[in-house]
Amino acid sequence: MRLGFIDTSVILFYMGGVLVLGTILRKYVRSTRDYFLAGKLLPWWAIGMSVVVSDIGALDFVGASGGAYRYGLVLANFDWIGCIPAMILAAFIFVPYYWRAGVYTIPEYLGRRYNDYVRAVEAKLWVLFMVCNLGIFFWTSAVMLKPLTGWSTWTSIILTASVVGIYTVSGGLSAVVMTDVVQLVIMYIGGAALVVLGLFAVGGFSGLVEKVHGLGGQYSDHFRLFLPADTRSPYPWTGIMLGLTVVLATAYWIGNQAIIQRTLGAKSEWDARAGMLWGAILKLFIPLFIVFPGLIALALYPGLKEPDEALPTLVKNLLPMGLMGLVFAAFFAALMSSVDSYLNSAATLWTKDIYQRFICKEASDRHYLVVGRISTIAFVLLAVGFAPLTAEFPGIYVAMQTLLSFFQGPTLAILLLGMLWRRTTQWGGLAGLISGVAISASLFGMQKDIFICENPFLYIAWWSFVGSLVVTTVVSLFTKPYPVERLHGLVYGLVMKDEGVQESLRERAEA
Amino acid sequence: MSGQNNSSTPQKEMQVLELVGGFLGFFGILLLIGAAVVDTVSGMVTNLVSAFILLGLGGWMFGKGVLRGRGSWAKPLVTFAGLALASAVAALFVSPSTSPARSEWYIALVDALRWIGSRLRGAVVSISLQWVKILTAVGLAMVAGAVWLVRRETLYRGLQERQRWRDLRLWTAVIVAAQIIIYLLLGR
Repeated sequence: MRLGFIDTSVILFYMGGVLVLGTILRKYVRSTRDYFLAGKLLPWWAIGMSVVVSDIGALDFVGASGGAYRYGLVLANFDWIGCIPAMILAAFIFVPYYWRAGVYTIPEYLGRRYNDYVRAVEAKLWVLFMVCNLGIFFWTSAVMLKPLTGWSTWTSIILTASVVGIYTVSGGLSAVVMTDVVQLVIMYIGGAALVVLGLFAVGGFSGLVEKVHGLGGQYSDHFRLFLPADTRSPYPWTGIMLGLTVVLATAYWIGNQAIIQRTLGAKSEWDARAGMLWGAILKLFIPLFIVFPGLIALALYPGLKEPDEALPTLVKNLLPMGLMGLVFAAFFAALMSSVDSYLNSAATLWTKDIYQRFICKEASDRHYLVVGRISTIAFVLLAVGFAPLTAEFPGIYVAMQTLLSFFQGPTLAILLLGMLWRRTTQWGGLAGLISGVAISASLFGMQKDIFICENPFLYIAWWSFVGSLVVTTVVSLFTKPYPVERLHGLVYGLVMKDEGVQESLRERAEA
Repeated sequence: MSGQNNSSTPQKEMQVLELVGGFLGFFGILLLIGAAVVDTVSGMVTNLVSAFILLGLGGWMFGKGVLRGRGSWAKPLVTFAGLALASAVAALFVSPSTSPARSEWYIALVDALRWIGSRLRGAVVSISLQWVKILTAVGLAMVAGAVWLVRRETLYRGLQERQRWRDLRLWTAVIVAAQIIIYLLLGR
């Protein structure tokens, strides 16, 4: 299958348009606040669209439909109960909290609340994770595009990296968010076209259910949102509830720099909250575009060797010329939105949490703006250089994802305790982080011996979270806490109640 | 821990050396974990060889920086490297590919964890999926109800126009209602 002239034109027009839009926003960038926080001028609708499109990457399109092809509708939980409650929690409790505290990054908060050990660990881990993931995004997308576009792997990588790099370096967070808005619209239109044509082909939703159930008993659970607790699939309802809804979703929506950075750039506290809720509304529709194609592919083309072929097979067989180009533009949109978000956030973490904190403390704002831009370029180059390593070292992608999952539960535990309990001490936080990671690593190593389901990452997240909560609490009770004055602006009750502190925090946020 | 505000150039060089060494070493640790999880012997060998090169080079640079610089980077990086190394060692230690001969304590630990796991599973496996859906709906409704504890004035903070549609508690009610309908009706 190759894309036709019209399809290629649609893709190139889309990429050119995004590039122009992103670079136009350069004229609004005068300071680090403009570059990293979009001058604190972002409206709620742009924030909501941006957080959603940043969350859905190109690999999610392929991976989620492949997962739905294999496991069924249960994958939709990742966008419904695995997002919505956490986004509401973020909107009403955590986003306004960060907003008033006037921080740029999550590690910055952790550094103030605990100590620089915790800040350095978190900042470096996230920078490293983001750069590695950028390389993985570039490589896997280029490999998938090769048979369709005829472009060589390096042409795809360099083209994508150049377009995203140019507008991200020029326009900073404003460019990232505004191009995200365009990308979400393209993604929705392309995804909806595919699902509508797919449902038409299988005879509507009832036809889809009938066809899938007609494939045999092993597909009887494909339209269930919850699977039994003793299932062998990675998604038992207990794992969905505890590991996904309580730990991973909450950790992602209140602790992921790429997400929180958008709300910190809001023009008012209301816009920050509303942006998160608007994102939750948009999230309700995402499974239609990334999970349903997998089910439709199962009904139309059962017996595919690789479940991840579900989406490409559907696109190849269902879409006419022009629409195919639009769906691939949607694919590019998903890729570019993830890449630009990671680039901007990695540059923010590097500049604010590493460079400004440890290497060069007292320089002009202009200096840090230049550093931010240079580091964005450096991260693009690093990611491009890292991209082929993904193919050379097959274990590194798994290792990177695994390592991040080790940190999710413990980070959430120390974040929550640090925010909500003033008795939490710096040594409690450090011990909780280290022991939680050790629990994750040990459970990961023992998984085949102690869990009955395949890939028990949801359970590992849950138990590392619980272990970290316990250790942080116990160690905190035996160590000396910071004085209350030191915690003003850092612990929830103190931020919300003390009007004097509120005033100084507002000034800090507006400075 | 506090850094030097006006670090001299050699100190900065040492800090950069630590930083680069730390990053290289971290890649080495990643490859070690990769070696533990990869299926093929060739994959494991290439990962291991690369890991040792990166760990050696990174360790040398990092050590040089820590010993001579003693700057603000040392403690956080030591913590970080120790953390990553502890994870990698823990993962490698319990990985089936690296510990084919099980020691007695490992078997005892696994038996104990299995026993706990089977008790917990036994407690939840009897809950029907219909009840899980109802509990989900109740939980979601509680979230929607809890947001009404936040005063409207608090939500309108920073706004000049205070129209009714800007009341975010109403938005939440709509979102949660949609979720409840989905979970109760879809996938019966």
